[in-house]
Amino acid sequence: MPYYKFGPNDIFYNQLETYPKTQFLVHSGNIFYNNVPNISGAHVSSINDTPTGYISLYELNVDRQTGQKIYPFIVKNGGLSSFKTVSTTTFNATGFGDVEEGSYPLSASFSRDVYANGQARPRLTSIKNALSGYEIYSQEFQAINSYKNLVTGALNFISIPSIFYGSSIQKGTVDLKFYVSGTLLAQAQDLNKDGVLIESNPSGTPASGSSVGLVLYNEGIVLLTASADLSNGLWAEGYNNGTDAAPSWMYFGTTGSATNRVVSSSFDMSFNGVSYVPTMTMFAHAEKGDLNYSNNPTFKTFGMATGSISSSFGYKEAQIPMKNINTSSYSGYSELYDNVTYISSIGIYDESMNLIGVAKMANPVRKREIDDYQFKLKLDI
Amino acid sequence: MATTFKTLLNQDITSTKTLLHEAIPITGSMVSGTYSDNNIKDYSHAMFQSVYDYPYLSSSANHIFDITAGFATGSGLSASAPADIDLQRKKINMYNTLAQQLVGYDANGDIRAFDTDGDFSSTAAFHSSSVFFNFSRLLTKDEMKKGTFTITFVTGGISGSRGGTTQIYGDYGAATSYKVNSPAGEYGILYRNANEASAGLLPKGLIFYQAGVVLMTGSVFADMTAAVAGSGFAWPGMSSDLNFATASFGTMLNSTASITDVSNGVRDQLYNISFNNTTELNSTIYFCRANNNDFNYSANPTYTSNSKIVVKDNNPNEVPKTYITTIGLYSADNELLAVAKLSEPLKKTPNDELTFRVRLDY
Repeated sequence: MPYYKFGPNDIFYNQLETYPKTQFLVHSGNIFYNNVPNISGAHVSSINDTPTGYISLYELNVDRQTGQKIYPFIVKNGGLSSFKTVSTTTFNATGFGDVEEGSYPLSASFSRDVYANGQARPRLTSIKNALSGYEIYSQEFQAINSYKNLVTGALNFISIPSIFYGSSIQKGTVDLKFYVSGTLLAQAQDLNKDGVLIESNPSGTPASGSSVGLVLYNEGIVLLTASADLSNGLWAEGYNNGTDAAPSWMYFGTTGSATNRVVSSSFDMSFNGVSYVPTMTMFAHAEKGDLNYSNNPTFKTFGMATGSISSSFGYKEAQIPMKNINTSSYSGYSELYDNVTYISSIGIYDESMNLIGVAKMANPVRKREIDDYQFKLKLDI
Repeated sequence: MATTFKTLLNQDITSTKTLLHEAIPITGSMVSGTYSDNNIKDYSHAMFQSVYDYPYLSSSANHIFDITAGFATGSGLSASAPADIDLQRKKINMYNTLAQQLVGYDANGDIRAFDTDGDFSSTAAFHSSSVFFNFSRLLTKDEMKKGTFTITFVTGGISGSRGGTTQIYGDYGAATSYKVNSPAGEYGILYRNANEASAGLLPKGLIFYQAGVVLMTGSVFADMTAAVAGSGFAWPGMSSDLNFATASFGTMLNSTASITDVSNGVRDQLYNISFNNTTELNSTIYFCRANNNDFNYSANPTYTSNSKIVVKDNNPNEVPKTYITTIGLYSADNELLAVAKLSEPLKKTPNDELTFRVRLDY
């Protein structure tokens, strides 16, 4: 098996930009992530031990009973490493050498913070700098502008953890749908790819065409500011933490209260994430005249070799002819011998000739003396 | 924005290593029973069997370990006339494949057998026929924690109905007495209890911590009933005790039973597996020292207004002060490599000296 060294132009690195789609559906007080239903297990009500609409980081405790769950622990030492769930006070009270325990699963889903007019909103304060960065797209990102007042006005603050979208939310893909009894009551999209959510459907409704909120793509935050009644006074439900209220974007994503679920309204939030996959591409060349021999035993004619020569001074192996696998298109005629191999796999070796990767062909590639191939190997890293 | 840079000296940089562990329990009902073997994947090559923690057709399922079995080329089973030559070759090949990786070759270039006491120079017995558990990287992480592994079998493991007496085997005392002469890293010896471990008596298997492979000697299964009765182990040979549904372990290995059949029998007898894994968290800690006369001025545009320092409240007699929010770590070429943010700005005046402990995990 011959070895070839990759040349300077045979290896290059780039990255794939992918757009994984995410959809949250809030229906009858439950959240569903990418239409995955609740799957009950033999031991727990949900196999990942998370509520529907949540994803489990690591996904380790699948259908495990209490007492049989995998959990992390750490011994406190001079490195002062600890779990995020351990408070500073608790950590300081723990002695060196003591064991701190965490728990799995760690779960995540989108969350809402609803602020009434004039209510203090520390989470908004924390993103003021980020908001300023979006002012180049639209003046609506100013905390106080002619369209909305984010500082004191009513606000529906939706936070989406980055595990759902990767590096950022793809511009122009945020789509919010507000349903009542299965009928689309209102839809908001960032049609202009500038982070401003515009109510787009159904046409003819009072707020159609106007801005109802903002999207912070990199931070995964949706700010809904429109509080107009979307039903023109025709509908009310326990949107306001179980208390009946008219449907508006302020209540988008609500599940109601524990005793009074929102059952007639559904909320659909979908968007594409932007995720980067670094890849390494390698070109392996099979030049003309190369790779025309195989050490595979089937490369030679089947059968025991005869005619070896031995004497007191030496030994000469008998010759075994190569197998001629060339066939002729004509009857009664045997094609002349020609070196033909079938390339089935390519091995990648490091500097010390350790095999570190193998690329397999879907089908073996016929390689004749006159053929010249270039194989493109791609590795996600 | 920084206007002055301080060079980090050797005394300002230290490295630490923190070990993060996870406790991994695997119950016998998980590997045989609860999911009616829908979490067990068999392959057409029949060289090993994969165990998942949930029916493997579900995207939620995690691969947790593989089971296989085999015997050494020089074992009695190998010398016997096989009922099925292909099955015998598979069992020998599996043993040799794992032996090559885990115990390597001797001076003659021959594959070593798994030595019972880990001393290749001695002529002690070797594990001639064995069951192997190859745990997934998901569970073992960087390595299995020494001295934490236990595996429990029951004596009545027929057709999935566990019963009889339990036998626990573990790497007792391995935290301080592990072996290092394996090409695959460190390994320990499995014993039935701590007393046998301290006396070095009757080793029952091996555990390779970094490779995540556990070997249980075949006689454990064949002789378990006898051991519970207190009559000891006929070790390392095989007995005819019937612990499986149809045949003893030795008989199964030598018969027309496939590795899949042997694996099924082992799963039926498996009561519990428990161990801790280890993940190494390496950190470098940079002690960034702001002395009394350092960093008392900022080049931030908001620091001054009308040529006056804002935070001094127009009082020229006030000492200069800044609020430190960020620490940047630069390369020797003054390239910004990393940024550490404070949870809240910290006041700095000429009357203060601060040391910031910046930890970089990797």
